[in-house]
Amino acid sequence: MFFEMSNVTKSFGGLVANKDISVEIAEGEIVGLIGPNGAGKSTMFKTVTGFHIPDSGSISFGGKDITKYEPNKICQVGISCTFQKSQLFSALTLEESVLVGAYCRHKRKSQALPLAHRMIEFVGLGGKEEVKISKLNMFERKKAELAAALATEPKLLLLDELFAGLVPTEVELMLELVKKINEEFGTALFIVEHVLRVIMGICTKVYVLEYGQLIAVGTPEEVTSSEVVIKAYLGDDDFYAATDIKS
Amino acid sequence: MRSDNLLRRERLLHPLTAVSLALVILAAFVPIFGDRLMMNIAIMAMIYIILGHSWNLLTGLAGMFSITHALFFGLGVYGMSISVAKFHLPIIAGLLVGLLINIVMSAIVGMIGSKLSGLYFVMAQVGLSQTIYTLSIQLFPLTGGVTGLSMPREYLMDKSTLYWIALILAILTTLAFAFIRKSRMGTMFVALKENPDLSLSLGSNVGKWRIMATVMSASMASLAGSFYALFMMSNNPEVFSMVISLKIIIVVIVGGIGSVWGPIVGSSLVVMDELIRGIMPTTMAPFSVIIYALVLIIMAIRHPEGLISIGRSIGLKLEGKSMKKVSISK
Amino acid sequence: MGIDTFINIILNGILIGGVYGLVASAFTFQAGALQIVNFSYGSSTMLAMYLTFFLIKEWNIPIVFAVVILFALFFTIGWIMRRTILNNTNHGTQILTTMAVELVIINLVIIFFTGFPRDMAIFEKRINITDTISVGLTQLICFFLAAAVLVSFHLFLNKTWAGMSIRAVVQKKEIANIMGINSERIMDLAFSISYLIIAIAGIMLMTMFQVEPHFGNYMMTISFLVCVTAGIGNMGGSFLSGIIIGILSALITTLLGAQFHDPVLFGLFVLILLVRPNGLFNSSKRIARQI
Repeated sequence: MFFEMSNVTKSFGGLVANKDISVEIAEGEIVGLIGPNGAGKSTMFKTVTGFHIPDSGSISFGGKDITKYEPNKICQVGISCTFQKSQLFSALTLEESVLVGAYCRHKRKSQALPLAHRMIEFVGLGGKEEVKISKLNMFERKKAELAAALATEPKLLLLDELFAGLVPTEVELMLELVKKINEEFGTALFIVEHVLRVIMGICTKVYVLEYGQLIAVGTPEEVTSSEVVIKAYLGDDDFYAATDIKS
Repeated sequence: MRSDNLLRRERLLHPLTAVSLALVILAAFVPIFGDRLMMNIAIMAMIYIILGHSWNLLTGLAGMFSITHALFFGLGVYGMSISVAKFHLPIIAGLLVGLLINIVMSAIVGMIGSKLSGLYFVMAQVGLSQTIYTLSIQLFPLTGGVTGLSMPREYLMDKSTLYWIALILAILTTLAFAFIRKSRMGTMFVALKENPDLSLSLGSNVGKWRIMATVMSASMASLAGSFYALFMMSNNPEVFSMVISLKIIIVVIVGGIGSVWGPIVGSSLVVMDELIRGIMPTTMAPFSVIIYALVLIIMAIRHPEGLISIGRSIGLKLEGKSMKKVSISK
Repeated sequence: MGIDTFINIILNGILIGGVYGLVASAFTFQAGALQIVNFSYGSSTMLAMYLTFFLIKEWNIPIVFAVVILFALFFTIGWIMRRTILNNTNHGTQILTTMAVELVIINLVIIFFTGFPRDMAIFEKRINITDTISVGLTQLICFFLAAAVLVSFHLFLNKTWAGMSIRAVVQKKEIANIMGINSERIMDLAFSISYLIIAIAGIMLMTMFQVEPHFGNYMMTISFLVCVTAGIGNMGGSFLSGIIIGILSALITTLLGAQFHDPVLFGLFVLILLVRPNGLFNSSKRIARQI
């Protein structure tokens, strides 16, 4: 399997944040992960990116066991991510910020620079290379972070709440961009989202997390009609909002 | 609007280049017209420019708060003076010995810095620095104890030769700083200062870069130290003192942290201080230290949230000020 | 070395260590509870020692008045420092400014009192436990006084309204504000009180050590060592680890020689920081904000 998490458990003190989680992602696939606040999405995200080491279970990527890898090593094997609440590097310019990612693959500036420029162009921020990150708006910042992550040339990209805080038109644009990433680079995407509606159209598979456990897997349609999911979310406005069942 | 900003920055760069050229030309005149006192003052200013760049690299760029920077400077001094005065090695060997000791020490500091942060890192530095300071006094046969060693007369150099060496070293370190800032290393340094987590997840080996920053910075300080040993022709434990560390920090902060111009602008403070001390009797020396300290305290009162944050309140002062003026006039 | 000498060394170490603990406890209170990192701490102690010496020895002021003057002065110093330069939460700024204050204090001491080392030259009355084992009377008094100060400070924090306000502000400033506590005033008060402890510690240290303007650096590193051994913010623990450091320091001096005392002790400090930055006794991350 391209990317595989098997039976991963992570707990903090007495609190089990992730219990026995298994996830599979095929090459070039777009997979979603949804769940209400506090379901353990962020913990799972951090476990995959190497900021947490799981208590038990294993994570493998491209045939390699990456369970105990440091975050920078994980990036080097081809998994990159964008953070939920990132400030990026506010003192750097856009070009330099994306360069940080590009330097992951190329040691020389002469090689890294064209890559960085290509990625800035790709996310649609061309012409703003010299602008400080602190001068960019929220949407531009998210795109900049995407560009930096893409500059590491990932085979799997994790997006943590990429669409949070964007207005509907921006969400549409971002969705286009995300689709374009998948089509053009063949990057597999693992999208962590609070609400399903946003990513319903682009995911081929969705995992639902609640209280640290996976309660359902399937296509978006299957998941929204799943008995377990509806039962688990019964009375949760989040879920109605997320799936438009209520209407 | 944005192109407007860019234009303004372009224009702003020009006066700076002009100023730097003027500075270099002015500096060239010192050995011709200046007397010994002038030359001594200029050399001290150059030394602080080098040290300033060194501190600026470590704290301004990489964001590792170096509080006992005189440690690296002092090791450079001792490396040079011990190998020259005790073992009669050539000057270049003294330089290398200082560099070597510094690389070892800075690797240790860097390792501590990549493990500990904030207050703990600062405390560890104070502990290390105190250890080395007491060792420099206790290891009397090697270091000459409290009075220090004095170097043989054949190493004595002409004042103007020393001056030129200092000038070249200062220019070289300035260029090195500017180059590093624009290179891969500089980008990585600022990135890890601004957001270590994101740097990590973008594949940057934060621990390695922290050690790298410390080693680079210590090497610069070591150069300044070795030169200082040749300039003073002796050593004493006071080169490790807090006063020197604080002077370095003040020089950079006054000039603007994180910017190439910081140490150069800030070294004017050293010139003033040395001028005053050259005129006043030596018993007044404590007052000059108090003045330094007061400068720092006043700056802290004016900028309570972040004496050491890059580009925000006081960093990059030259640019920041002009921007502010524009916004007010609008 | 006989067993008696050994016991004498240990006893001596314990007694001095108690005072070390008191000195460090004020630092640990400032840094851990109040979140104010005060690097002028060592030189403040040194200033207290000098003032004690001059008030009592040179200007012949009766001890009670001298202590009152010292308390008033240090309370004011603490208050002024907190109001002017330490009313921010940025550790970097705090460290830099207090280092500047340290230089001001050291150089003012050099200007007014000269750099000449001073000593109270107290004739130490020995209390004999057995024929060969004895302890110094002043040291013994200081030790118990240090313990008493710490206990009463603990009681102050737990039993009085002012103390409880301090704890409230330290734990949750916003909530304390809502409850009608002026958190800024309370922080001022807490910081000034920690300066009273410094004054007391200075008086005690003056009876044991000879003081010179850079004595503060030494005292500060010792406090760091004590604090880190106990875990920053742990006041009770700092008294205990002060005693441990005292014993260790006495042992190093006698076994290895005085010249190795500082390098070994300070090297040990860096080592502890690297291996257990949260303190030797703290199990994991139970650190900081505990009073």
